[in-house]
Amino acid sequence: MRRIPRAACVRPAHHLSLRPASRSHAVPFSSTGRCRKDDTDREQPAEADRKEWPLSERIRSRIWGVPLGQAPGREDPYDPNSPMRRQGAAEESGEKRKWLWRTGKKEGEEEEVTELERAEDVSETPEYQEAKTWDGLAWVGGEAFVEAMKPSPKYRKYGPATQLQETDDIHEALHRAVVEVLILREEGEDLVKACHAPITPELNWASSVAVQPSEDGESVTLEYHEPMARTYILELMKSNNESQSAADAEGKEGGVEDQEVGAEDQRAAAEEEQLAAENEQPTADEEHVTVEEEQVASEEEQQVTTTPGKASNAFEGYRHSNWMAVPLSDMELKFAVIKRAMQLTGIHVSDPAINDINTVGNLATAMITPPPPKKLAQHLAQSEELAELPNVRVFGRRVTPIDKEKRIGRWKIIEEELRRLDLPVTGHR
Amino acid sequence: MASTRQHRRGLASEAAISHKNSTTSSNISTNVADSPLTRHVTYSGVWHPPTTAPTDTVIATAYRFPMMIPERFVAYSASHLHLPLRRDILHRAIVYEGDKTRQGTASSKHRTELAGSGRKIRPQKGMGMARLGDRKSPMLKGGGVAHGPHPRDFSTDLPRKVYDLAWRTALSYRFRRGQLVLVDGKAELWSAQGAFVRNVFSTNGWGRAAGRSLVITMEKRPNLFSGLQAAPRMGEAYTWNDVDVKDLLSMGRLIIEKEALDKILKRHQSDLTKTYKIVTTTP
Repeated sequence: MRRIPRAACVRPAHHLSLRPASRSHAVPFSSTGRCRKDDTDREQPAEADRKEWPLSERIRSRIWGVPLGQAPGREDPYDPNSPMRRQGAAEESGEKRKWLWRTGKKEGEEEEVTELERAEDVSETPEYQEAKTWDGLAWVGGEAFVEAMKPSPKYRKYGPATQLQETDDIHEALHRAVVEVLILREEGEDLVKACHAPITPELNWASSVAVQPSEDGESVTLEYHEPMARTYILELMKSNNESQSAADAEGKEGGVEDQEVGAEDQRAAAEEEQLAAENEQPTADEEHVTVEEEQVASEEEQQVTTTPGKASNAFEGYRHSNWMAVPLSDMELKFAVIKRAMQLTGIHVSDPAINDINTVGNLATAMITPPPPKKLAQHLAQSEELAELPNVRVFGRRVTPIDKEKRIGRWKIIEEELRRLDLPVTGHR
Repeated sequence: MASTRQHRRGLASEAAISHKNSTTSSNISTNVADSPLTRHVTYSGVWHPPTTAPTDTVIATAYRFPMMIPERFVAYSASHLHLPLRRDILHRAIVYEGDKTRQGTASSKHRTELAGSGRKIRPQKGMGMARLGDRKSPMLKGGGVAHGPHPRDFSTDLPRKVYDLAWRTALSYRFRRGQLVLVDGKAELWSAQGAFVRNVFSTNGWGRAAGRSLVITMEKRPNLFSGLQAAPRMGEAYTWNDVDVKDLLSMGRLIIEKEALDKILKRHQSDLTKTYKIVTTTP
């Protein structure tokens, strides 16, 4: 068989390079009309002119065998003026991809469809044609699609959105829990009803109550520095009582079945209702108020109805007396106080800590004590004994030779020298 | 044998202290025995031990899941949830479980098990080459395996009482470190969405940063189980009869339904029940 030499069947590069400059900018690649005979009568630019072009463009023109500026394909993507480097170009293309994915359109269809969508009524546009088949239409549906489109139900932990951090705040909340639970005990009510009252600090009427345990811890005396405090505290619990239990019940029922609205949403909605109801409650239930208190109440009435809470508290009960000595040996009392305190502070008290708690003071300590540090270095950094020693310092990580050099200011010079000698700055070659 | 005595005490002496029940004065009894077959102490009515708090019971809080609302206190015997840490016993239990779960199916063929002729390949002498028997010889390619593995049972023995003690030691270890979260009722979620599970677990500090969590339930809870499959970094969920001692110790904490915990404790107290006989109290 006769063999044709390879060089003979391929057109030499210099033939290709003699095409006229028919286009002044980079064009998309097309395999047609590129090597026509009349394209070949063009002069090569002078060498000096070539040098004005960037290297990448020169190489591209060589590769394609075309005059400078005629190379097909994209422009140099590394050029600072390249549209690919323009700020926001990447985001735009990303957005476009997303849009194409969402609508299920292909790349070319984009312009046309966007115009159609802009029209107020699509069916009125002259280009509109009703689809007779599903070919080319976007697919929506399927289990995975439905799953992805479902809104995730909200979740909020028991208690406030953020944990209390300040010791004073925690003491105040704890004092409030103790007062509320003790009042309920005096009333002979279920002690956990304390948790039916709202947790907002503005409604903390308990701060006007001083708690005074007896020496032997057998009894506790409550001193009211605000005559209506007891009534208000009880009212707040009662006003929340029904709606709270309703919210709880809804939470249990809707919990598993209703996936769109979590129990917490319903609970939050119920709480809002409660807060709204609180504005009216103190005036509505005046039958419980004794005759002597009514005179005081009439003065306070206006304030309570307008502002649903906090009295003008000059007295802050948690700063007075030794209320922290109140014993928590009664399990029912202990549970109610801890539950209410966890609700008010958002601080979780662990079971081993609960077993060690005998007084309110123990509970306060358990709540205020921060969790132990997770790293040894953090633990050592807290040690006062080590901090006092002049020759001991604690670091968060291993002290490397580089750290030592940095400390005496020699590292910059070492690094510079290493770079100059083309040696690795860190690690080995 | 102080520890053993402590274990024997308070057997089956679990008393549920419910704030709901306490006011309605349902009889809640705690049976405590100092020595086998002897003393019984009964608290009836409201659980009220302020003067002599029993040291052989511990209080655990039962929470409503996943809101983590404290629902009630539950008392457990110290021999159930407050045992001292015994690393040696835990180690023995884990080795025992590991041995028991080995598949032991590795298999190879000895020369006697291979198919083929027993004809001698070449004469014993006179060829100037090594002596050889048949084609199934272990030194030939395609021959049998001389000392290869064969299917066998790797399981080892562990006294039942030691294994049961290990179970309760593992649970006690979790309890003592505050890593036992007791769930009142069902540990079920409102949604099986991975995003929701991640939200719940990370809000409560149960996620990957805190060592993940093992949720143990009485039965399969559909949303929880599939939700944790969608969010495996948060933890895993098993039913109570699918876990072993190693599982109890492997993650950051246990979130366990009270009913499941009771089942586990009931099943793993042979060292208590065998040495102690429950006598019903008579007025």
